[in-house]
Amino acid sequence: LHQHGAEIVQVSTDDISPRLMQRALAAYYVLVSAEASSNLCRYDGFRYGVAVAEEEVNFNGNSETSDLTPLERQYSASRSFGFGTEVKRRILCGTSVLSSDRFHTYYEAAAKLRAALAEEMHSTLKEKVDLLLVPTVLSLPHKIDQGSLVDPTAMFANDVMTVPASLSGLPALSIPRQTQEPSSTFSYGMQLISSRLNESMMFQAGKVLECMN
Amino acid sequence: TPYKMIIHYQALTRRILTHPRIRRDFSQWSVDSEKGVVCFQGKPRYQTVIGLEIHAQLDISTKLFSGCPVDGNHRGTGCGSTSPTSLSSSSSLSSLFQKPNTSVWPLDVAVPGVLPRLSQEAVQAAVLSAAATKCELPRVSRFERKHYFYADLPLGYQVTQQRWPLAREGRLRCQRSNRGNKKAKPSKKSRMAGDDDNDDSFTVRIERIQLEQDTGKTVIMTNPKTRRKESLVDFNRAGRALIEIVFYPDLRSSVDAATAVETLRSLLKHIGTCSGRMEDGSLRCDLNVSIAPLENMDQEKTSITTQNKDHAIVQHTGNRVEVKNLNSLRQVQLAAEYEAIRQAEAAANGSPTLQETRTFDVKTNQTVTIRTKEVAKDYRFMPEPDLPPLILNEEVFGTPGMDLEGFLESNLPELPEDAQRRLKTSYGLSDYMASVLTGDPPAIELFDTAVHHANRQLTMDRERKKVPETVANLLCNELFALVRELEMQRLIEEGILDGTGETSVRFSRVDGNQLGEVVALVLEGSISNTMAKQLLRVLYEESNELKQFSAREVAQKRGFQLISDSVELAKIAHRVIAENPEEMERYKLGGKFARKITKFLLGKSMAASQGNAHPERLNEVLVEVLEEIAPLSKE
Repeated sequence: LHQHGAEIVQVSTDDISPRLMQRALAAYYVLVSAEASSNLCRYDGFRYGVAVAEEEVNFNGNSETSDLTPLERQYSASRSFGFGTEVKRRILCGTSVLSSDRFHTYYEAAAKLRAALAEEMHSTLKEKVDLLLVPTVLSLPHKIDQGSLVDPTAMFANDVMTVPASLSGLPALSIPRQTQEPSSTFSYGMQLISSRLNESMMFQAGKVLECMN
Repeated sequence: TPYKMIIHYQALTRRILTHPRIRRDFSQWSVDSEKGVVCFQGKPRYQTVIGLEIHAQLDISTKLFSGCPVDGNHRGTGCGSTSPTSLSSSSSLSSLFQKPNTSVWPLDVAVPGVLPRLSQEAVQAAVLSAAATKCELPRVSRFERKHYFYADLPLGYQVTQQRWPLAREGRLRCQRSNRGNKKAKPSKKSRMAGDDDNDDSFTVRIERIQLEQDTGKTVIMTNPKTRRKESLVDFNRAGRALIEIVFYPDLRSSVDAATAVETLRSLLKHIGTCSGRMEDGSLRCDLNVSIAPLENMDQEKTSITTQNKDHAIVQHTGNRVEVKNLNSLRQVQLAAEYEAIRQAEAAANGSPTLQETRTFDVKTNQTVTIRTKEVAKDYRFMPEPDLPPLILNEEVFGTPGMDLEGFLESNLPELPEDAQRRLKTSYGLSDYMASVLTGDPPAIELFDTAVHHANRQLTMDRERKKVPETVANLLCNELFALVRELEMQRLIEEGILDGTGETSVRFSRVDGNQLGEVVALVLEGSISNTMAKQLLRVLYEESNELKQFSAREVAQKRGFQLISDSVELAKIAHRVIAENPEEMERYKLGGKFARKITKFLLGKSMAASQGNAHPERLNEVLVEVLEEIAPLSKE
């Protein structure tokens, strides 16, 4: 990039505070789970999608569902059957953070954090630099047969580098990087983040980095 | 037999319960419909406290977020229209008789992959409604999601405005009806009192007005094949734009509550934002009823906190009860009264009512529990991520550079109470006339035009003084009748209007200018009142053929002219005299007899001319003829 005429500076911690960056991941997952739990409410199997047959629902003399109406029992059965584990996890998390006794502690705090981070990112990209260059991931993917051993929360941690751009609503581009050792399959990707509506500059720089490979 | 006795008991109860002023129950509790005081054995014990929540369907061409036309088939694109008061009564016809699930776009049934887009018409209609109720309109309001699961809520959440509503802190001024006395003058107290509450009027404060989506409609039917009860859902209504109007619990009686609903209903109808038909569900009412003990039997000293919506949780009187889905003013009144007594009885027996939601059973005139809310429902309100904040700027108002004030000035019609006041003070019209005209907004405009035009045509002040009254009379008595007779039936038959529309001079083929001319002709003495009515009818019925002629020209062509010709009048006079020989004998006695008989003959002559004789000329001619036939000796 320097060869192509870019000036490289290191973004100071005054412009984007590490404290906010560290909490960004948590804020992101609170907000994302909340929105997911809300957006997925429509999947009840009545108008489209997967539904569990009525006979199977009513047969269930489960005490957990005894205080539900028949409609709610039907919904629960279809949704429990149709949603995968990770989805269910996020729905439950989202429902929890939106509940009235937790809303202020979790959702509102996350929203405030998002606003603060977005403010910092926007002003940095407006006044200090045109593009940010950061890694896309901090760790390489786990092997497929180890999938069930990985703690879900640890999996979330992989998103720490992509979360700030999502929270701030900024365009970002990930560019693969040539691996150092010819034997390894994966390497850490590079990420460019630009200010809003500045995609063209981002694509230009991205092309340079791509050709570098 | 016991069976017969039960029937008798029920019939008796029903008759007593529908007595207009006092609602009595067999347990010796009663409540006064007008004052809301609950009595035990005739002694006042509690005060009724009522809060209203009204959902009004906005009368616009599409749904709130999906762009789906409201009547399903007949309209083109509704988005982008800047006129929320366009004639849309045709849509109500079709929407009433639509087949289920025919007016549905993907967003209305939550098909994945569609995003909401706020209708400009809806915002404009909501803003007008808020302005008409004198609300504050903050520049920014926001949408939120209210989550719960139900078959008629396809998204699993309702988009509404909980924390940042469109409007706040408004008020509604209501008139207590003078029972049946249409021509009564307002009491001296109310004329002088201005804005203060008194026996004739009261004010209800509005806490908030918010925009929200309507749900689908659930119907319970028995499946003919399986013989089991099924709930069926119709999504035609899902996604329609509603405004929810929440009142502070300022109301104190069932009659006042019904009055407030009616006042709001006709106000929204007047400004054109809601068709206001409770039977069809375009205006729905929820009641919140509670009671407060009367301290020392003194109504004024009763402590009722009315600052917030969760009102009147006064010790030992139970919590407020919500009664939902009332479909008529009568139901509002009956439900409020029943609840007041039920709660009073329960409180006095030491087991105050729980906070609960009830519905009204029309067969028994009683409220019935839907569910007991031991735990309040948690709706998990979340800011709506798919919609930006709603900013009341020129984009919303549709005209570059227009702000809220400018928008209201060009779009908010004259409000009923302002129009009534203006008609009474500027024109001196009676309460009754003013309210008839105000009841049909186009009539106000027609009236103004007619008065203006008549004044231009008349030259003498004493003629001009009578213009407003004459115009009002002709408008209210003749023109309305003509429209009703000749226009309404045709429009209904042609399917342009449904049968529930009220007569409006909007459909009149005679306009304000023509009416003004006719009035001028009457007051300048060219035609009689009877002729005016006939002329009006001719102008109406033959409006196409007579388009290019002025009313005056038509009057002349059709011979509507007061008879001023002496020969004609003399003929009439002679005839009348000949028909009344006895009176003529009395006339010949002279003096006061002569004067009396002259008057009598004048009346008869006028009648003989069918009211078409010029009064002064007739008088002159009659006197001449009498002198000729029976000259009196000079005394």
